[in-house]
Amino acid sequence: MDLHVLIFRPLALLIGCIGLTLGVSRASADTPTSSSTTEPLVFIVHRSNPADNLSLQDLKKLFRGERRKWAHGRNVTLVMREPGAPERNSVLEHVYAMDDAEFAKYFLHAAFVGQVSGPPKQLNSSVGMLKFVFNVPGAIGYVRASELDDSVKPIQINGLPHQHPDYPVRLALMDEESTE
Amino acid sequence: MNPTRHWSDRPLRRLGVTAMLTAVALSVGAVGVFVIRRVAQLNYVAEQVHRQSMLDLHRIGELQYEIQEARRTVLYALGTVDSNQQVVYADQSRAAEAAATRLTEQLLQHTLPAAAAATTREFQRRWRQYLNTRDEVLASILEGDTQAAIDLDLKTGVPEFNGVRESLLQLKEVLRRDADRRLEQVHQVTDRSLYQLGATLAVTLLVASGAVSMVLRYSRRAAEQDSEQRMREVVESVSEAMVVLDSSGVITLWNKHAAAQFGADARSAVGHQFRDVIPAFSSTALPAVIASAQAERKPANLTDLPLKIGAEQRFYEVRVFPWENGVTLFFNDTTERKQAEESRHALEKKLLESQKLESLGVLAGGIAHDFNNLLTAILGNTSLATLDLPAGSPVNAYVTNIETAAKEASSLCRQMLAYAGRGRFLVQTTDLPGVVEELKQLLRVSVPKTIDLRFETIGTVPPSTLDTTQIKQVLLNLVINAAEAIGEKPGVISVRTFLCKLNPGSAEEFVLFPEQTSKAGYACVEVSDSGCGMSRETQARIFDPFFTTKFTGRGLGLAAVLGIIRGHGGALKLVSAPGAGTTFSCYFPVDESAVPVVPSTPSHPPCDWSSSGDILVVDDEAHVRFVLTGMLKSLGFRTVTANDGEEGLQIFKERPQQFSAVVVDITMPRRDGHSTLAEMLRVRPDLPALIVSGFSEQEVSQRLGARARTAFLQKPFELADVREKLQALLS
Repeated sequence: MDLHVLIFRPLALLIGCIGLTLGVSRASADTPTSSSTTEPLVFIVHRSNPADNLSLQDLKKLFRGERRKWAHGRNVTLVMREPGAPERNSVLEHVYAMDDAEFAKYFLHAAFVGQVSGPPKQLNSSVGMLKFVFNVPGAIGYVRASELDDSVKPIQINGLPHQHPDYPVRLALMDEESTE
Repeated sequence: MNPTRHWSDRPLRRLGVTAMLTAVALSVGAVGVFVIRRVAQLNYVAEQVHRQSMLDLHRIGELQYEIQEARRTVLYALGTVDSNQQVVYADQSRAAEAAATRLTEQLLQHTLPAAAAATTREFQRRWRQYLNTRDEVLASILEGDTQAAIDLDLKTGVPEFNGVRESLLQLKEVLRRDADRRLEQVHQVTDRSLYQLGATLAVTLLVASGAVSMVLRYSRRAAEQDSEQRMREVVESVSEAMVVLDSSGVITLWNKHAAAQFGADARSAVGHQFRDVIPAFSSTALPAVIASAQAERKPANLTDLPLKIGAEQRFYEVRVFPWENGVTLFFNDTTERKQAEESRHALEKKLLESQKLESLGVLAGGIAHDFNNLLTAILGNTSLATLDLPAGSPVNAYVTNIETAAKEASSLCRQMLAYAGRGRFLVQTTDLPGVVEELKQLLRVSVPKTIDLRFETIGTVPPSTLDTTQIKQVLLNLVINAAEAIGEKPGVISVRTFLCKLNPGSAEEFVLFPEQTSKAGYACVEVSDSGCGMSRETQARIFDPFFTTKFTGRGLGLAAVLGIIRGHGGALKLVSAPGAGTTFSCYFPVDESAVPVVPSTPSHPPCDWSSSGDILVVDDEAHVRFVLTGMLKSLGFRTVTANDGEEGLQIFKERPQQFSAVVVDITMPRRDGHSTLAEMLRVRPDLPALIVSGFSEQEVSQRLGARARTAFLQKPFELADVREKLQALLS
């Protein structure tokens, strides 16, 4: 038997097996699952805002312009992401229960009737969201939990922090990815 | 020279100076390095201050920019409605705020002066106050309430920001002032340090220069000590007394010879007035000579300066050398030299005196000899004339007078011969006291009765070879002179004889001193009187022939004394003073070996003796030949005469047996009497000979030797003398 055959054939088999194993592992890691496709969407306020916890109902009132002042007297300033953003979509879904058209119509009506001074501020990034909330004491916005920093104060919903599994407002990542 | 090496020795001194200068150079170098380092440090500090000030001012500039940026971005945010853009501006404003905060903290991190810190804190306060307003403005902008934002900004933000800017300008001014102040402080410190360092350097240089000066001074002092030592050695090596006076007469230098001569050591002399050290100085001519030498600036000499040092009078030769601020004196003690010169002068004077006496003696001897020949002719002719004169002839008296005068003249000739030392005719060994004893009676009758004449013999006096007649003449002269010195007043004359020895060292005290002293001693006869004495001038001349203080004196007495003593080889001493009397001491050598010459006794033979035969008369004097021929003819002899010795010898040799005797003069031209007689005796040894001479018999006998058939006839002579001698010779 040739020496090359005796030495390199098993080695080629070994390398091939390792490569196959790595390829399978990577394929399994890249595959999304339904249980891990949500991410908490954290509502954030200015650090000076005394509010720590809001019920989902109160949260809805705030975002719909039905409650215009905070407990510490500051006017509530709503901040939304740009249309199409997953965070905006999630808020439209869980808080407003509207789509963008309904949302636009709702605030056009609210401004017309004097309920609100205008539509919510709209920012195009999470960073912008964070900085806006950081600069405006009465602002309330939202970012993904993974993008949260210390410049703002997260608000518990229904007494649940965003780390809690039962946190009610979540962001469906798959939808986001499929959308993307 | 001390072999031990002293630090002042030149090599050690050079080493010490080198070490000292090296130490000084190292000190100056160390101080210099310290100065340079200190200046470098101060320069570094100044640079640090400057850098810090620049940094602070730069930070102020940055701070100004950041606060302007923080303000400007707010205005930017106000100028847009885009929330995203507003957020960006807000973020930029906060970034500027953070930068300003960081810069402020950096300002506060380092030590600020109190005013700057206060201003900085005021800036911080106002800045925070403005930031609060700004936050509100930003919030209003972001909330979309632009009017509220503008109102708030105009109402509060702008004044606060102006306050911030004003406080920052104040801070900038404070920091600038502080920088200036600190820089000024650094400069002051630098200046002070430089002053201190300069002072340190100056002190170091002063100390160094002091050290160098000290070393140089020590070195100079050592050199001066060396120089002084050398000068001291030079000064001490001077064989004379050396004294240096300053312009005021204070002694500044005094060598060992000066100390030895003046009896004051240098310690007690230097610094004192010379007149105080030598009191006799002021009374001499030296001060005037010193003043003159200083005035003329020329050296001066002063010889035989008498200075009384203590109780002793000494003489000095002084040389005066003036200089700018004083005078140098050299004292050469000439006392001994002066005394020696005086002694030499005295000796020379004595020698001259002696030579004078000698020459006078020669003169007197020659005159006496010639006079003797003349007197021989006079006396001989008078003798012959007396024979031919008839008795009772009146001419006899004249001839007798002529004979008496001739005899007195003969006596003078003897004294002159005695003075010339050539008159010793009859010498014999006899004792001096015996001669004095024989003369006692004559001396007693020769002096006045008022004079006490005393005789004394001390001890035993050995015999001497003396011409007693001359010695008696000496004694007679001295005693008569002593009596005349006393005069008519009562007085004492002492005649003492004794034995003594003569010391050559005391020759100066003598009028006459022999060249060779006798070891056997001297018989001395001393004649002292209590008379008037003599002055020095008189003493110097009394032995001169023909010098006399007497009205009737001939001036030959003491001259004869001196000649007699000289003829005996003796010594004479004179001690006299005005009013203190006079003492003459006559010394005659004791000579036991002297051959006694039996004196011819003056026996007077019968006047009628006569004989016959031929007698050869040899004499160069014609009148002597004439007298002798006449006398011999009167005695019965025939005579043959010859004019000199040569002729006489020739005649004698022609017929030697013809002559019964020969009469020969001693002093003759061509051939003298000694030679002539000796040649005759060689031809005919039994020849009777009569020697005729004006000199002494002893001198003649010493040259011819003792001979039985030879007789001596002293000039001048008479017929009786010739008869007596021939009778004794031919019988």
